[in-house]
Amino acid sequence: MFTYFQTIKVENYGSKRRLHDRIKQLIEELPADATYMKMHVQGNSETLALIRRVIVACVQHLDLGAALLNDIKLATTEACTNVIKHAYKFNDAMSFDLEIVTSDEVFVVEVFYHDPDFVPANIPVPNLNEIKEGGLGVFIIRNIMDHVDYSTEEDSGRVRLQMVKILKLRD
Amino acid sequence: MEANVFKIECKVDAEKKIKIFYVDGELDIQSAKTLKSEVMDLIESTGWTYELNMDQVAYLDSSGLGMLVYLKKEITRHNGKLRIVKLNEPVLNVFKLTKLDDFFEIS
Repeated sequence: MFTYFQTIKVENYGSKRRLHDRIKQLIEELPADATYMKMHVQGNSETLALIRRVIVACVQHLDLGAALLNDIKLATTEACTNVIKHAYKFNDAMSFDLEIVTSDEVFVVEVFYHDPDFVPANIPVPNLNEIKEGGLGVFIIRNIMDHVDYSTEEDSGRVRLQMVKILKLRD
Repeated sequence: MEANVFKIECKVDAEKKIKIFYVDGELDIQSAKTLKSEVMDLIESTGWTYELNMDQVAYLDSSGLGMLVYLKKEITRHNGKLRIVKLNEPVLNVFKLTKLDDFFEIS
């Protein structure tokens, strides 16, 4: 059984439902020339730079611009850092999976990992008036991606984090 | 495919009591450890200014930011001052998003 926890940015779409429908449509109607990439990654922070380079390679033909490219590198790195730091506690015997699908309209990255104790609704929301050294990763992800969806599988402890960035606004 | 090559070079002006760190690379949870050890090893007991020149830092995430918060607190505890200069736009945007652009002296 899966439980879901979603964050959706609604700017430019008027309502959460319209944005959600648009993202669903973009994913369902991916063009034949969409790029698909799967990685099986060791739970070690040394892999993060490699992941960023793979992302750049996946989208280099799209001419996204520095800001958009940085957003998707940043969100993916934050997600993987959380897996390595919080779920795996720097145990590099653990590993996780990363799947990227991108067209010229949408970038979708999914992170699959094991964390039976993870409850998405319990992710703390940081108080930005209190200066702390951590706790900003998910806040950043939710603020730069258009759609963030955690789902957990209670029986196996498997977690899926899906993050979506729309690369072209609707005309 | 090359990994994150992260380098720090320090120049000291003893007369002005300033240490300038030229940071080169991507600042994430891996390289933040290097930044910490390089800066902490050179913190004086009192009254110095520490400048981080980030001109060659094209990427920064929350782990890098967290390390900068830690360093500022440590430098302040030693009665010193931390200044961050030459931030690239994507990096500055991370400071702004987390509202830490007000916490740091940035120029």
